[in-house]
Amino acid sequence: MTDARQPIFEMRGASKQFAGVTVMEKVDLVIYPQEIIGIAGENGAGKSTTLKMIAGIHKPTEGSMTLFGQPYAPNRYTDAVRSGVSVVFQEQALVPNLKVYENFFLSHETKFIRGGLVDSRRMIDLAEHHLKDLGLGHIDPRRLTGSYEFHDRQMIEIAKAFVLARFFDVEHPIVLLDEPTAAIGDKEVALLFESIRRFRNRASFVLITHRLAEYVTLCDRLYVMKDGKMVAEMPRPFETSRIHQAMVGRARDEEYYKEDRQLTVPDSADVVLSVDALSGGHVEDVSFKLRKGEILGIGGLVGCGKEDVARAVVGFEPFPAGGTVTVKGKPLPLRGRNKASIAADIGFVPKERKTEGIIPYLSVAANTSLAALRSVTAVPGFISGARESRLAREHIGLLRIRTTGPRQLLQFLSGGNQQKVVMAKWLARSIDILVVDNPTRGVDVGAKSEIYGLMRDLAEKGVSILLITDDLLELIGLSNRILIMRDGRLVTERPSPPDAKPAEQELVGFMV
Amino acid sequence: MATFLGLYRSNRTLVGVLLPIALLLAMVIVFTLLNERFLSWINLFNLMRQSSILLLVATGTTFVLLMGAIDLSIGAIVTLVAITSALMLRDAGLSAPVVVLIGMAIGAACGIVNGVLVVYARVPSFIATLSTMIVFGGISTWVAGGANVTFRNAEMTWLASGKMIWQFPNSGVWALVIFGIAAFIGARSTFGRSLYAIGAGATAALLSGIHVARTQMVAFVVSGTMCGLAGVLLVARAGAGTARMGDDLLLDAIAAVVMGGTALSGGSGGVHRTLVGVLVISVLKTGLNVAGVHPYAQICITGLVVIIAVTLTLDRSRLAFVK
Amino acid sequence: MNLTANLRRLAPVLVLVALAAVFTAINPVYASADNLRNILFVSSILLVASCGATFVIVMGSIDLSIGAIATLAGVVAALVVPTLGYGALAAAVLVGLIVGVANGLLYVYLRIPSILVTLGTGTSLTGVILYLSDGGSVPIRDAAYIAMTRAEYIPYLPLVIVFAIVVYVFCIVLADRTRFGRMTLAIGGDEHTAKLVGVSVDFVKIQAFALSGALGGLCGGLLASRLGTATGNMGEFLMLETITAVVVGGTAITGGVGGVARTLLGVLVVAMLSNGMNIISLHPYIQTIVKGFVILLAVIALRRSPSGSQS
Repeated sequence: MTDARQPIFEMRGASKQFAGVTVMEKVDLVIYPQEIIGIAGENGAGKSTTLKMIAGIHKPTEGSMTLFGQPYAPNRYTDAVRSGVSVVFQEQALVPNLKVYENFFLSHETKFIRGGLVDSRRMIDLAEHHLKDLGLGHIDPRRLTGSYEFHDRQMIEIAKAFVLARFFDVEHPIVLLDEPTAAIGDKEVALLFESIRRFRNRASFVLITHRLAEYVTLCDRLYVMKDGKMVAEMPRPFETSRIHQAMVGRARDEEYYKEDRQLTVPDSADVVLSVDALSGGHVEDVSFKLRKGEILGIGGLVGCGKEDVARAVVGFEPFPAGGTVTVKGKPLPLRGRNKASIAADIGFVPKERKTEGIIPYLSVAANTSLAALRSVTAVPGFISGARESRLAREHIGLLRIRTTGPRQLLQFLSGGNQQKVVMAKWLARSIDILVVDNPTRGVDVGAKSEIYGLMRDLAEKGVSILLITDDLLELIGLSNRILIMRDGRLVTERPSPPDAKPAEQELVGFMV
Repeated sequence: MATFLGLYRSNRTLVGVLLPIALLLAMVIVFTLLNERFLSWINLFNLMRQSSILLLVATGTTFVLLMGAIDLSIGAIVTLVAITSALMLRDAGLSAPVVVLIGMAIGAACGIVNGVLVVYARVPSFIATLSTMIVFGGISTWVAGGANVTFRNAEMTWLASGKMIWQFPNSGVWALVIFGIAAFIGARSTFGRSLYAIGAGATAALLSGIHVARTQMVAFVVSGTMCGLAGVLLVARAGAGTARMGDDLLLDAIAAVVMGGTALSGGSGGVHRTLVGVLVISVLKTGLNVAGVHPYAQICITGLVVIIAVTLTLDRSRLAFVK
Repeated sequence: MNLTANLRRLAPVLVLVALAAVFTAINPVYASADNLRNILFVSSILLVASCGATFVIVMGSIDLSIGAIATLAGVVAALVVPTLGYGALAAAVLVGLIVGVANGLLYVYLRIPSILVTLGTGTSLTGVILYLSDGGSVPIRDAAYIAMTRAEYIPYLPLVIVFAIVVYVFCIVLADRTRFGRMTLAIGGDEHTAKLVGVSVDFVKIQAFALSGALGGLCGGLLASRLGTATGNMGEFLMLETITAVVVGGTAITGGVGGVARTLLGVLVVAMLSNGMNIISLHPYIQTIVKGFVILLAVIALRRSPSGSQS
């Protein structure tokens, strides 16, 4: 079925390299008027780079683009905006302490200058007009942008795309959305999608998200990228398994999650962690138990509160303070819970690796010994370089960390290897419980498999794992037992033995 | 030229270490050419004497900078301790060792004040230490009563200018020994490692069990104590406590640390590197003196050289934004 | 929530009222017309410099050389009064402008933190000041120039206050109604985003420092007139007092929040406090200590509290 319409945007053979590493390879992409397309793919597949290239933030090392029939080669984002291409960034490129209308026209105020002064009145009127036009009349252009909730700020950024497009005489803008749903709850997702559908006859949208379900709901056409290449283009209707197949080259693979190594944990096994009536913030009355050697997975949509549960166990402020967390029989205190949990031999692999998990400017050795400094001191209080090196080498071998050596700075390792160092840090301490939040986020396929193997190793040694993850397949494949949360509450518990794994649809049903 | 710049950019760390040393050598050569007396023993001892105070202060402040904070009150602490020490010597007739201990204690107390503000009241270190700088300065002028405080104490003079080891001035010896200990602690102790961790990744450090609050507190106290010791040595050398005598140390100390290679945002560099920075500034100052440059011009030149040196050695890859 | 936000905005006003009440109670002279004029006098000079400092701080930077700039400008003014008469004031502004531009260029092109740049230039300027003033002070013998700040072309309003009002209004217009003002706020709020959407960050930074320098220079020229002489350390108090005024007024030291309008409140607080402490004969050294505490209090009280555990 060929498309008789004329594309408004075309990318041909675009490639991009960063410091010798190819992130995009001969990518072809077309955007038609009034359509919503998606670009799917794993982390590192090149989707975000492609998007940023369309927005002028990255320049292609090879290949070309045309926009509205003309050659298109923006030097910077502002050029793209002037041509009618805008981005809705994950955290919005809006200055929070400026008013909404000020953000709309930031750096474009020259057209509003009268007698050397900026004519705010005209800006406000124009902003108000457009907001009403887009059905966003509830947004007051005179209010501070930062005072609006996340969802409204997204709307503001979308509105900005339309406002500036009209400002530069572009009838039909292209709005690029870079993981807009990553940090919002399902209510907001629904609102966002409804808005996008409402605007579709005035603009074209390109969407990147990790949630396959969203592509299925929203997009007319879907591109799939893998390892920097465009590997598939699919029209509606979509089949999730086909998308997944194109993304990773396999359907859920029992081998991938090493399900054959999954232990059977009897009900009589010792309870190592007990959470009772946890509440506060987004969480309400969550209770569960973790047994020795078990991998307990908690899943749910973003915003359901599963992260907060992890934070409450390890004492990472702010965390829900109501209820109790008991480790091996002893409750954890409210104040100083962080130190207490570490003392109780709990390790934590946080979601934000770069800022919470690793210290990029310190070496592999320094990162590995960070939680176990006492074990690398010969003289009390002084670190023995030899012992530290030995510890690092031991773990480099054990976890198969790809690095030039204990002295390499962590910023130079790949995401997967960095994550291994985070795990090594806790292994160096011999922990009993490991709390992991999205352990394979931003990690390449090969390293993911190794990390799964590691988790099985730990379980065999008697370490209990609390797994928080947005990756449904990972949740199902790895866990002994699965808990699903929704709106801060625990809504279901489902055993997940290797021979009777639940289907995704079943769990998704509880999440939404 | 282009290749030179290219080499410069790709070997940042090596350049960062070598540049200040190269600068140092260049200055020594220039000054010796201007006046051959520059390389005399007398002048070298003079250099040691002059730089010992700065070395102590800069070393102490390296600890604070490493963890990503800043202590603007260091000059004021030196002045405060100097004046109170002078008063104790003149009015209370205390002996030198006692004065040294009390001086360090006062410095430590100032450090505690700074630490409490930053760690427990969560005031950004820039503002906290700016305020304490004002307060300590006010206390100094109040205590001094508006006049210089002179005293005569042979022990104190020996402390600074005596010669325990051959002809080296004592103040230089003390400073180097303490510097050595501090450098060792900075590079090899768990405390030092914690400083780097906090400066380079405070959240990750906290989550890994590093005692952030305790480490920060200790760093401020160490900085204050070193300033206290510097204050005592300063007054020992000068024989009198004058208003604002330590205030100039602030810029010099920060510049010395940054020139040595410790990033202003913390997390990299080290106490051991500060020595080079201190030497650069001290050589510059003594050199200009020996070369007979007008005192007013000296001040100008110092300010400019500091800016240039910092420009060259600053590790910008660590700064997301230059604020 | 709303209550605390409003309280935060009103805080400087409440403090002003409290100060007035306390000092008047201790010594009724405080509320006399003469004394009030005195307060306004002092406020005016501080206000001129603080307005410039506000833009730099809102942008997220800092100018620690402002005291040195004012002193240098004052010394230059004193030196050229014999030849230029009133024009010496313009010379002062020019000197400040040149140094400010130099600060901005060094900051932007050398890419070193503004703390270091301005500490460095401030120190260097001290050398120049010493050289020009020969280590001492430069007296002004031109009676007209000395009288300038006190002249009352508008009854009861000395010229210096008029200057201050003009500068203040000009800066408010600059902040609220020009691209420049908006951009300083944007850079202070989120420099990365500002750059992304096309704000010429470098140019704005240079302009902000130029403005700060020029106003510092003006301040120096006015100071020289008021004191009748230019001394080597007459502008020193400015560095700390401008930062105090700006912070107490409600502008965050980290930038992005606040503005020139609020600086007036901060200036009045500082001026009233200084004047009050003098009136009640508080020891000058204690006064300095009190000022140090004021900054701390302002920062702690006006801070947005970090979130703790939720329950």
